[in-house]
Amino acid sequence: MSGPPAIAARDLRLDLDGLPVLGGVDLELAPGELVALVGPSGCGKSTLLSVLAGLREPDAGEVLLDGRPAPRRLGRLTLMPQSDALLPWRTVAENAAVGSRLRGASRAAARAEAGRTLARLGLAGFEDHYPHALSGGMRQRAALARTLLGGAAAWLLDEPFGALDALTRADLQGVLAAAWAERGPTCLLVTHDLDEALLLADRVLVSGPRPARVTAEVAVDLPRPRTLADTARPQFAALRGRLLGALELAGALA
Amino acid sequence: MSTAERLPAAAPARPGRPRRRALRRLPLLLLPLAGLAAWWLVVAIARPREWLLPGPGAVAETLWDERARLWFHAQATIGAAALGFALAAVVGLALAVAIARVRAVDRALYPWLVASQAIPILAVAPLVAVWLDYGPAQVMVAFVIAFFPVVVTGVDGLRGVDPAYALTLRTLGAGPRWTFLRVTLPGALPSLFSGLKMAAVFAVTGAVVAEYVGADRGLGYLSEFSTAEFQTVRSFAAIAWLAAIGVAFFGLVALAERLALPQRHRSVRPPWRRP
Repeated sequence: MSGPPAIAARDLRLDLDGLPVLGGVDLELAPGELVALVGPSGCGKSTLLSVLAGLREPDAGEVLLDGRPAPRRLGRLTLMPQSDALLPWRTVAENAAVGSRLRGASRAAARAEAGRTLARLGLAGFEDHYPHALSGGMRQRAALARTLLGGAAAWLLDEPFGALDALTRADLQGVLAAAWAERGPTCLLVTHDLDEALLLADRVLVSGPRPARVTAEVAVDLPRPRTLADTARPQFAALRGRLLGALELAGALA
Repeated sequence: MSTAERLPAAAPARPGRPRRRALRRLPLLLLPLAGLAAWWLVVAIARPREWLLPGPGAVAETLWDERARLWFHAQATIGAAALGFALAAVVGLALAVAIARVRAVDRALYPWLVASQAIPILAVAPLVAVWLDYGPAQVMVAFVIAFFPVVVTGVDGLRGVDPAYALTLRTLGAGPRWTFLRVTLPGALPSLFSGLKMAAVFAVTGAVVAEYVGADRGLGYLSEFSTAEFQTVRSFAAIAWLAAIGVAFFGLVALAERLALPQRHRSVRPPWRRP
């Protein structure tokens, strides 16, 4: 790893209502790296993302961006939640363009840029649609466009495809992989879908049940681009087996 | 990914030959037509004295013959109700924002606001009429009765906005002020409009109640003294006017809602609203 990690967490601890949710999380993401974090539902993964994003302060520990402590980091890492969080009263283009607008781009420029990005993500012709007229997969494409146009160098993806059916999810995983390869943002992808983690990530971190903390790490040395067909290959099955083993050891499969 | 993935538009424009559309609207008229028929039948069969129960024909006649006088009084009622409603909308929304955003205001004010609604407006209206001049008294009672639904639906609307919107946009660089004005407030509008529609009708009721107990003008005043003079038919005409005003108030707010929340009625932004 050359240079400081783009995102680093040092011993993050947080209690919510007396319950330990983050139990000393340590992690490091190299610039441009896509790292997945898998763990059982309710283990505190989403809370970890909101702490990393700066939406919530930890009780102890610190977050470093590019090697420096970043107490005021809100806006430097863009969150993409499972619920697409598209504003229902704004059109797809307006939703996608919100980041550009917040950075002061003119309405026309933001719209033109959003139109190009939406077209590349397969949403040409839907710029003036309201989100409720779109399917779940299309809405996540729009949310991905918003994340792309947000311009941040780091993305925090909170089970972005968790609410989609299997085929749409595979489709969107391909779209995300392509967008990541093109833009090269540093990504932390929270998921409980092991195949999704192995298809997308350079490394997979494992967390046990609450409180969240990284108990194991599996490097994914599969060539890219990866497709759904790769999930049937023996190397893939071996990696999945290692992840399952790590989850079991962490007490996640009790 | 194209037409196959595209959901049907939420509110598809119903196909409509004019005749079928007229048929669909028929239920709307069913109730008033049945009421009118029943009223007409009762009057035709029982033949009550006109001061006891005038027939629909006599009321229609009065509506036309005394149209100038009715309009004179209607103006006062419309004015008081509109002013009371406007005040209720502004004060109610401000209170709703304060209650939803400031915990201390919520604790100190909201329970008392709810308790105050248990006081019967009919008991207070005569006092208001004593304290204030004719005119302001009507506005005041309309305001008092109309602001409560605005506060309740406003608070519920503001609190009901999915926090995921604001959180996601904060990570895109939006400040708390921006998220309040562009996310929380618009997100509360659907709920708030329900309260505004109620408030619009309540404001008319409030103005009329205040006219009953003390005024020198207005449809409530006209209805009250017409009944006292055994001019029941004129009282009925005033009530018909009041019903129309209530519907018009409701309709105007519903129209404003349609304009403010286009996404509820369309799947695509209409061309004339595009940049």
